[in-house]
Amino acid sequence: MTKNLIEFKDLTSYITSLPLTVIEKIFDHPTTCLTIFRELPELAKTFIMRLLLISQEVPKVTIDSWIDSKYQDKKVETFKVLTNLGIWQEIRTQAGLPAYILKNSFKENLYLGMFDLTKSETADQNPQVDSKKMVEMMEKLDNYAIERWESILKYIVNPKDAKNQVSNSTKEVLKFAGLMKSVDENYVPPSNSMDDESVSDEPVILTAAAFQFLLWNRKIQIWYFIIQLLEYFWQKKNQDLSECLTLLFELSFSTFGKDYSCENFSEGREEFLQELRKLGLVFMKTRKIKRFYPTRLIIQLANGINSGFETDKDDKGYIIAETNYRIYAYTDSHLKISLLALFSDLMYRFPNMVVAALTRESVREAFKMGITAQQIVNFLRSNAHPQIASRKPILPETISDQIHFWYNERNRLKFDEGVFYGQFNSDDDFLSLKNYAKDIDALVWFNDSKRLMVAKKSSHDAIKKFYKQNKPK
Amino acid sequence: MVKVVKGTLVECDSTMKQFLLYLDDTGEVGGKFVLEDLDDTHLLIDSDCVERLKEKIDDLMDKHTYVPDK
Repeated sequence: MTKNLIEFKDLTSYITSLPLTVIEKIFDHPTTCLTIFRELPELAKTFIMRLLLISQEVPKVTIDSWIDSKYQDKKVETFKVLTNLGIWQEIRTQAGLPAYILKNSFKENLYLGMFDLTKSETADQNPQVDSKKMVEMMEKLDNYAIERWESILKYIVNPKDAKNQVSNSTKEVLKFAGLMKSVDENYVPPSNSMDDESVSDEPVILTAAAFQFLLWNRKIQIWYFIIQLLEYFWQKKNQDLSECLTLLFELSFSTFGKDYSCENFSEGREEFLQELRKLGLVFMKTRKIKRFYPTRLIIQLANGINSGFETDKDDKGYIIAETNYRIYAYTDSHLKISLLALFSDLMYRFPNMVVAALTRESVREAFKMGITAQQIVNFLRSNAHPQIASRKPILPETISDQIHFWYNERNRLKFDEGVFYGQFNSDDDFLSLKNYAKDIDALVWFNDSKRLMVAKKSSHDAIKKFYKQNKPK
Repeated sequence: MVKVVKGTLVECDSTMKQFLLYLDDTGEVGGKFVLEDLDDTHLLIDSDCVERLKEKIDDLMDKHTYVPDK
């Protein structure tokens, strides 16, 4: 019943989905090549390392011989990954045998990235760094980053209260990503809406996709958001995607607590940087001082985006749900409380916990936003307090069943667009059309004795054509 | 000649079907919307009415539910 509304793409699959021209451009930078290299499967890494210092093509037979024939599947998969990313090209040797050669730009830049990256990094270093100041700065950066990111999450959960904390452009990206939707379709933004000073007060609510988004851990959230941001820059603003991507990868190789210059940034990069600043991924004192500090959020992205599915260690469960529909949430985070308030009635609030009740009304409010029963149940399960984590089932069955009942109550009718056919002249007529509809997998409902049938709307043209061709003379 | 009607096929339990027929009769959704009565669990209805119908059903389910005092 539940399908994933939004899907998390890892780096490799995201880059594969980009057009080749963009991929070629990002291969021009050592940092991107290194990041991509790190994300590749082990076998692909081995291949690249073996090929990196060879300047001529290597016959496919040789590469085949590196791998035990038992692991044929893995090999084929690796070949596919490398070809799709355009990291290597298939060519023919002089003797006409199939062979592979690493793409030149990738090879050179990966080489640079591996052996030379430290040099370019030190060039931009600020020589006088006071270690005490640095620690202070680190703390400040951490707080800043988390505060920014949480305010975005807060906005998603509660757009009305938090609308002043999130910039208009971030709101646009949220809408673009399908996490928020406008309630008022006739809303006309004020003429100066792109101006960051004024606050867009377009009425919005979160979508079911956003609820799923909120259930992810932070790393995946950020990664998902960044990909949406890239897409937004690319599709809506016609920015050079490769510029943004390389900036992103360079940032993820930067050192925490140091500041970097953005004096020579092109306009596109500058704008992307400002956008990252709004998310708390980089910190700048003001727009005018052309120095920025990357925060931990973005630096973490580079080390193992693929391993991001593990849940955060500091993110322990906090919810205890009881059979009497009471929910006890041991948290003081506003975000977590407002998340809970999406589908329950808050009853009491204490410094370190809140008590809420699941009622038919409160759950239905959530359903109206498009959240599904399964999502709520999953949320309660995955955030269960450690004390009840060993309980089986974690969520009392009466609760999970009841949530599903409430959900089904709203979905007692199943609607399918279709076309009805009736008043056939003869059984043969009816049967031939019915069988045809069945063959093309379009038959939805039929009644043999009354000679009635309903077929999918999309197949109506085909059925009409078939009927005309086989019309009784 | 075969009769062809475009619409939306509704699949539901028989109680819901009776309720739909009742709504059709009383015109609470704004006029007739049932195009064909197919069998106990199927109806063919006007596609334009689907959204309004969904809201109406929600109202009805609300009236039928007993909410205990908190």
